[in-house]
Amino acid sequence: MTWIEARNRWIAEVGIRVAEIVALAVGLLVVSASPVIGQDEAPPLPEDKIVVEIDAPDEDVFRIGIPNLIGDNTELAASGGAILQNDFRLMPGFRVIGPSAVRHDSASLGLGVDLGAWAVQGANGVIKGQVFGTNAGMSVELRFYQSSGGAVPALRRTYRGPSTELRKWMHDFANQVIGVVTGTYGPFGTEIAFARKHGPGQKSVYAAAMDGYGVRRVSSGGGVSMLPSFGKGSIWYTRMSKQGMFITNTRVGGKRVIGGKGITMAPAICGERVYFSSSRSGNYEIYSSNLDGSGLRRLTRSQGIDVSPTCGPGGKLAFVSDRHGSPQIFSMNRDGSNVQRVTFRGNHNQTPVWCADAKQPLIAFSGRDGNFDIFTVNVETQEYTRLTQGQGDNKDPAFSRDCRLIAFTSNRRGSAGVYLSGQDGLDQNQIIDGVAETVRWAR
Amino acid sequence: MKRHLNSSFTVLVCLTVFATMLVGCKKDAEEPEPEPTTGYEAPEPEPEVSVEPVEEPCALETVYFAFDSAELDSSARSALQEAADCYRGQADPGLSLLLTGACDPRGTEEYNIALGERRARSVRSYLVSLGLDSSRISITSVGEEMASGTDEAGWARDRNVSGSEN
Repeated sequence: MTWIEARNRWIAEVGIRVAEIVALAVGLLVVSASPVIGQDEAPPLPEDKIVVEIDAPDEDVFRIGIPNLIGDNTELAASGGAILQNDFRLMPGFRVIGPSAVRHDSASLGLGVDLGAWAVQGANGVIKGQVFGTNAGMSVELRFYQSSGGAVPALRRTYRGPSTELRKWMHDFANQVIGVVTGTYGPFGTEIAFARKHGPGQKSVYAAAMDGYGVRRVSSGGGVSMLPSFGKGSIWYTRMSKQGMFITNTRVGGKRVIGGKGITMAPAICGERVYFSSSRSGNYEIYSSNLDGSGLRRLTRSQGIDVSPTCGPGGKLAFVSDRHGSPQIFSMNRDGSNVQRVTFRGNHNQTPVWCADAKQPLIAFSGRDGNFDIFTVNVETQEYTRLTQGQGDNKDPAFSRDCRLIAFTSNRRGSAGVYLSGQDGLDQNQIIDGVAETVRWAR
Repeated sequence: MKRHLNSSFTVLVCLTVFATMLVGCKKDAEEPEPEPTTGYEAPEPEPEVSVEPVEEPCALETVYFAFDSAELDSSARSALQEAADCYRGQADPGLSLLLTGACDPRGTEEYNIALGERRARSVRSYLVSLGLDSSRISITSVGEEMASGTDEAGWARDRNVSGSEN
């Protein structure tokens, strides 16, 4: 059994992923007995049943030693090491053994490693790196040793270029190490976007690296810019103006791309089409259009509010509808056919986001249970998982491209911001400090 | 309040005087407030000055809603009834109202935009049922973007529909 299988088995044993058999049964009953519209009282979303220790037992994580990089340019060496350490701190299933824990890993070893000394610390692997050159032209040599592999590195890479590339290189190496250990390349180096309210009627869209580095405003103009989404090399968002609400993107600098009568908002770019909600018919429905707003097509026709379309794998969309009386998550094909209700628990479920990996049929969403909390539902098994526990409002989840991380916003007292979590709700870390809403993740 | 009413009244008087006699009038800023302890009431400056020719502007009082609801309660209905009566009685039918729905900050942005518009639509439907012309009432929503509440009382104020003349 690999460490990761062991970890998963441990998680299953303690019951975090308890199969929601009752929920499934109730869900099936609802489907078979009352497929037609009516006010419903869905069973509540799952409480956290078991008190779980924050740290999984040692044998269930991959403990990775990451000493500071070595080299004459101590500033670059220190920041390179810090980027790697932070990546593995954020990555579920890994635990960093930092430089303070190991004093024996002297510079005299160079890129070599004393695995025996690291083994005393319980390390399953070690990253060593050396920085050469100056800011203008530098190279970084990196090695990853696994305790099972002895002195032969499992991975070695050399990166060359200006020092401005350092973050990119470190993230790439972290991703490759994660690939060696887990079989799937990691998510570091990708971007997130979110909206931040400055005051009543004042909101802007921001972007940052997924480790929280380099927060920058990307929306144009004053007033309210909100509901960002990545697509076709730019960040799309919704602007509220005196002329109404319309969809724009960073490429056109905030000018109207998709508008019309009523409100037009919340774009999701799936392939060559934009999916959004609009009240142009007199009620909120889901529409699609070409990237320039032409070729408009209406996808839903219900009395309820239909909002928040997001792209799923296999030509699917997820969206929110209150056609049954309270907001719930639904799915449909991108032409509007095959509408299916997804959530059958809780009475106020919103902001769905679909894991892009078809092998993991998960939708994450915000569920109101007093406050908002983050949940996932397996669309095939109806298994629900609660990720947050009522510390303020936790909402607007977004999956990393590998779905191992879920970003969300929280207004928890004293520490509002953007957080990352593992799929099981463990490994939660704040990556951005300050008021934030509607986080989205580039893929 | 009393001072304000007195002032308005004086302005009306002045306007009437102006209209009929083509004589200017001074603002009434120096008009002394009646001494409350004496019970003295200021005498009517001009008997039987008619206010009929000058219409009181109609105003739509802001109406408030319960959490996640677009239903009008009785106080909202009576406020709307009053506004509708006033607008219907207006000599000038050029009424053009913009209803803006708003929500408290506890929902999600998208749903609250839609909910705010649903609230505005609910107010419009009621006004139309009271005889106002639906083509003259437009609606929009600001969702939770203007919300400022941080407690129950503040959130209750955030959940509203306000009207403005277009």
